Amino acid sequence: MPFVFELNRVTKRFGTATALADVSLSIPEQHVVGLIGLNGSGKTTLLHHLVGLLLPTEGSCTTLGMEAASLGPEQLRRIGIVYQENRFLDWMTVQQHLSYVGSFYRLWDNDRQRRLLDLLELDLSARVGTLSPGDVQKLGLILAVCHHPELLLLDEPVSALDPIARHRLLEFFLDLLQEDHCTIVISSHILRDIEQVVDWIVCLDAGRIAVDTGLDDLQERFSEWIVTSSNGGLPSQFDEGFVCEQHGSSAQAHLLVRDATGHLDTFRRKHGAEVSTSPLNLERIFPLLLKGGQ
Amino acid sequence: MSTPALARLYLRPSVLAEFVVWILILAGTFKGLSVIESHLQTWYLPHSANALLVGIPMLAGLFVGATMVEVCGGRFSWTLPGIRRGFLCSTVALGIVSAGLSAALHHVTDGTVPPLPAFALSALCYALIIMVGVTTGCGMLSSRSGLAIVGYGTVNPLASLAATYPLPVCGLALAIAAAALRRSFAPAGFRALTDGPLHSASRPRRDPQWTSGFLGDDAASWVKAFEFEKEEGSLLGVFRRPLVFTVGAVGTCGFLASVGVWGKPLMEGLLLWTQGLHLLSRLPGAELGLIVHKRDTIWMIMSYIIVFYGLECAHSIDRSGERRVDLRPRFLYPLSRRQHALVSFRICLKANLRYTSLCLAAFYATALVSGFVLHRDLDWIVVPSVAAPIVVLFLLTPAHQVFAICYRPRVIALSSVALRKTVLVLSAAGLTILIVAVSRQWMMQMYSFPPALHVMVLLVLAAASQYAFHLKLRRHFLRADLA
Repeated sequence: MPFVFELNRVTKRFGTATALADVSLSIPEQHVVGLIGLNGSGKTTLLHHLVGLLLPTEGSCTTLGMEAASLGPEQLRRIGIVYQENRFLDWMTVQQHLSYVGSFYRLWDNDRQRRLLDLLELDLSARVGTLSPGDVQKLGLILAVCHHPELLLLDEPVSALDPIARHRLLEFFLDLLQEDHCTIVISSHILRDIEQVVDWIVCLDAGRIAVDTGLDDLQERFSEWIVTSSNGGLPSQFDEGFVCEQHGSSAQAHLLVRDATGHLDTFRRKHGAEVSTSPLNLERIFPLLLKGGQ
Repeated sequence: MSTPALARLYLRPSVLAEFVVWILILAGTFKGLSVIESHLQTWYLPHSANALLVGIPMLAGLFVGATMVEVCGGRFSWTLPGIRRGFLCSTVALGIVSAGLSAALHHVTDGTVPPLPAFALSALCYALIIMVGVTTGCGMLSSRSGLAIVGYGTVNPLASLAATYPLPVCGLALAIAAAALRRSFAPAGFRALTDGPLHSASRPRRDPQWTSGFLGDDAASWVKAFEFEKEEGSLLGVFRRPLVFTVGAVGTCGFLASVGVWGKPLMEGLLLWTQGLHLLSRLPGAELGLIVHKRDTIWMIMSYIIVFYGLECAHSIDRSGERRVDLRPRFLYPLSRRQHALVSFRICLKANLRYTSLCLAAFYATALVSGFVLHRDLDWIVVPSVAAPIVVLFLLTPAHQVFAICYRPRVIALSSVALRKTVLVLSAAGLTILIVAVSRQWMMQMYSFPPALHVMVLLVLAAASQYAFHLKLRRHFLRADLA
């Protein structure tokens, strides 16, 4: 399967600080990747490497089959990007800005532009410098998708949006996948939102890859066990290696477990307890990823 | 706001650094005026002692007003407790100190206005600049400049009036100052100031429309796009900055002419300028007294002044904090790094050519008019040597643009705007000295070469400097981080 981008042992240093450390990553086409991590973990740096804005100190980065630093106009026109802090031309109106950026691309879909303007309720006659942070983010999103990119990079795309706009936008991303079959990388801290659209998770921790796996796999590996003992004989501390977190009493305990599916029967027998299991959402899995890595 | 919070606000390192620079400028102006008035008496220049009555309060008012607008324009300023009262008290206190200081200095420097009216005039000046700052918000630079010009222009007659009628002038000035401060701090107006963030996008004077179709890969189209971006709806478009500084240069030449560059009896005025420039450039040889009698040298000095404005215009000192000679950073243009370098090079080349042409045109136009009006002959103004500094500017400006494009991010990383400005100003001054020294040597040498050879050397040097500039940019864009 062809990879839309590949990082091969990429290290990036800014002076003495290491932003990315020996990162290797390959993402196949038509995936929606959630790039998660704490602040300063290297998410934005990684995205900048993919479009060739930053050069690796060591290693190599390939995007759309080319060395990222050598991406030409044709390859760059196949990429859309939304930055964490958009810097647009304040003096233009939204309409002027759309026409201006539209001229960078051979194909600019005016129908999609219109649809998104309606969906996100953005005023065409407003001057960009007077837009609220949320509206600037909406403009950034429209500018990034109207040329039908094959690779869409979104750095905190919904952080300034209200819940309704966020919901509409996530629905639009799903449509986009149907229409364009593009690969999307979303870096975000709003894990509940991205969980609805992503199928692959890359978690960065202090510049290193902590997790690189499918969302389904991840959700299969982590779950919550509610352990109930009729005689109140549960230990205060479970010593099983797959238990990541625990709290509760001697009658009932809540355990967050990892890679424990095969151990369920043994656990029941050992503690003489009833165990009901439920899946964890990404927001609850995330701290466990940082604790234990892959 | 508490007193320590306000003190921290006023005493930020960047504010203090800028304040020191302005104190030096003020001291230089005072010294310059006192030297000039020992040689000349002109109706339009304020007496040095009188200038203090305007300069010190204006400086204090400028910083108080700017800080106030900056703080009040913040997103959450309205939440700051007692912000209006805090600023009112500190403004009045600083006003009393600055007006008292200027009145005392006026008295020490043998000013003619009695202390109390001098204090009142300074307080008036201070209050007016605060009012202009608060009421015009972001767009206060031009209003404040206008007020400064009016202040300097009217201080002489006001001072004589105050010396003749001290009490009425004092009462009137204090009443107007109080009214101005009252207006600045009126609750409704001040609330409007803290209502929300200051938007950088004022409505442009005209709405330029982008009508171009697909830009393609052609560098020329991208240069056009860049110029559209920077046009920002100003009436003069890309010629705005060059024209502003060219007009400044011509104005400076006009000022020189009025203090005696072209008039024999007032030669001393020019002597002051030549002394200053001589010290700046450390030219070898040449007695100062002789310089003023050499026509070529006079023109060279005036073209130095044009060169100074040229440096300003060559985007070297940048108020907005954004790169002006490069495409907008962190905005994904579908351009390869190689194309990016080419577009940046062409942008700089075009800007340099545009400004050099404007400088030459302004210079020769001034020379033509003055030559015709004052000397009734035109034969001497075509001497090519007078253009040497301007041509050298064209050859050397890329060095400064390399600094602006390639090394500015490192300076920004030091996270001090004041430091960045200082580095840029110092490098601009260094380049000016280099241009002056090189063009001086060149002018001395050129008399031994025939004009055709001279032109050929110029062309070769221009091509070589631009090619080296292009190579440097390409190397930078291929190897550097662009985000």
